Amino acid sequence: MSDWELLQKLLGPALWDTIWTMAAASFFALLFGLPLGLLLYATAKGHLFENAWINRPLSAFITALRAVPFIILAVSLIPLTRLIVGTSIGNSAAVFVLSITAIPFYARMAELSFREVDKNLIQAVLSMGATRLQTLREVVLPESLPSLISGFTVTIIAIIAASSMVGFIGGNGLGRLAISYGYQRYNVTIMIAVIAVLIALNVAVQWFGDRLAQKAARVK
Amino acid sequence: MSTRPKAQPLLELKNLRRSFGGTKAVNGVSLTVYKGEILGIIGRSGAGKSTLIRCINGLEKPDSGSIFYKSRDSAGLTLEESRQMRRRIAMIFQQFNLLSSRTIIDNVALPLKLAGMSKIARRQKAAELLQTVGLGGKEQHYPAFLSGGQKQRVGIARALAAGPDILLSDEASSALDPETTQAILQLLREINRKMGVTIILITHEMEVIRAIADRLIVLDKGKIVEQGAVKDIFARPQAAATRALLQTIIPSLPPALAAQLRPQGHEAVIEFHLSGAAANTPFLQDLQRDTGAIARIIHGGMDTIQGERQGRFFLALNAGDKAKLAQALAWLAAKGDKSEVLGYV
Ligand SMILES: Nc1ncnc2c1ncn2[C@@H]1O[C@H](COP(=O)(O)OP(=O)(O)OP(=O)(O)O)[C@@H](O)[C@H]1O
Ligand SMILES: [Mg+2]
Repeated sequence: MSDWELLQKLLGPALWDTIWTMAAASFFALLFGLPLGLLLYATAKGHLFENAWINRPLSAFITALRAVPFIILAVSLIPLTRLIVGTSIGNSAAVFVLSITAIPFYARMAELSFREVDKNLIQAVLSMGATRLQTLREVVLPESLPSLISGFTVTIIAIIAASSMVGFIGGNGLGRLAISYGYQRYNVTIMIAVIAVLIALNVAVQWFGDRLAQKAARVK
Repeated sequence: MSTRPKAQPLLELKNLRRSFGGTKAVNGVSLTVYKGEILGIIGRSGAGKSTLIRCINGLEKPDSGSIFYKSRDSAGLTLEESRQMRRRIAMIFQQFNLLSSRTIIDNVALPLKLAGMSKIARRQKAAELLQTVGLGGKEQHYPAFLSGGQKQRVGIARALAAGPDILLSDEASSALDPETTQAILQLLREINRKMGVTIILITHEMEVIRAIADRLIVLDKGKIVEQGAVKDIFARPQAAATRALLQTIIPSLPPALAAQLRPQGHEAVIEFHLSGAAANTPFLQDLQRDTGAIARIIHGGMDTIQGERQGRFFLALNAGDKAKLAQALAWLAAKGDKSEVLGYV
């Protein structure tokens, strides 16, 4: 098989695997990261639901999780992955480890976004007689939307980067392709193709995220 | 207005105190706000104005003292009751505090949404209010597209949405240019007159007080140092803090003239203030007729505060001899609010 035929045969499925893992892990990052971020923000000192008993342990746990480099975390999670997903290789396993690392990542990003909301605005709405929950729903969430979108874009890009590394421990996708053909067999064509596709993917995600964030910002 | 005999107290503060660390931001303030008035609270930066207003709308808890709203002590209110009270006391801000994620109409409708009003009803009410503040047709715009003056109009419409008894304004015009400031102040005056909303106006600019306030409270270092009808305080300020704040809008002797002042000379330079009926008389002619002294105006002019004529002049007065000068000065002192010899030329 020529390089070109090999590429045609392998690139499509690998790209599909990467997109699938990326989408699923991003979904979980949003599903769990956003509420966690909101909890971190709201329970922090000087905020609406200030509560050190929730905030301190949660914050420490998230920091600890974020302190472990992804590849080490992924390896150390293998037993847990097997327990929960049933296998430690393949797409589902990759989604699991990627989610575990992306959730605290996005929780922190979201927390930062919430903190950007002008405190005076929150006070203004409280002075209208809003409850604290109403204030979260009517002010904090909608006002931080553009920033939440930007943060989510960064998270997706981090997930794409990490998903390539999953190739080392049995995940499918572009990473695996690059490792087994580009690295182990030193196939330059495949290596370059994978890099080009990854760049295109990143650019597309960033472009789309920027567009969305700008639209949400309501300034143009 | 303080002169209104049957004025009905709406809000009463009794010996309110609030400190931050060692700073006594509000240090024993007692005051009464009467229904339908525009009360100005003025003070230098750091005088405690914002802290006071934040105590009134419940964003700050006073260390001691009490707040009576419609004769009910706010300390005894449940959480829900104090939320209800906050809806009766609306606020507008220097930085407008509009939600950038919502259209103008939804910003205005927000207090109604918080109170649980249906979407159709609150949009209708908000549209009416936008008409009132002169922003009809801008309903679907986002705040980023509005000028400062327009944003403040949205802020005012939003404050009015819940039908408040009191409107608190914390430097609401301070971020605006002079012309826009006047337009916003006139709008507030109109709202006060037509809707009967009581207004508490916080500012550090006498110009704002002058434009619309009925009654004035001067705050300095957390304490009330002077209060009364605006025209009385403008004509005869007592406290040093008041005089300092008035400096910005009353004429002072131009430096070139001040530099010419000598301890001796044949003309006395006098700062002369007069108000009320006296301000409507040809006082320079009367002075000459009664005392023979001839005075000329070297600086100053007439003003109208709350419909009262007030004059602030610098006169160069030629009386001839010392005795005649004393006589002329006595005449001026009896006629005006202030007559002070600054020097001679
Ligand atoms: N949250 C706070 N923490 C610490 N100190 C505060 C706080 N709020 C106000 N102060 C202090 O209390 C004093 C009064 O502040 P306040 O904001 O009420 O003044 P102000 O009259 O509104 O001034 P300005 O005209 O500058 O707005 C100031 O010395 C200020 O530094
Ligand atoms: Mg202030």
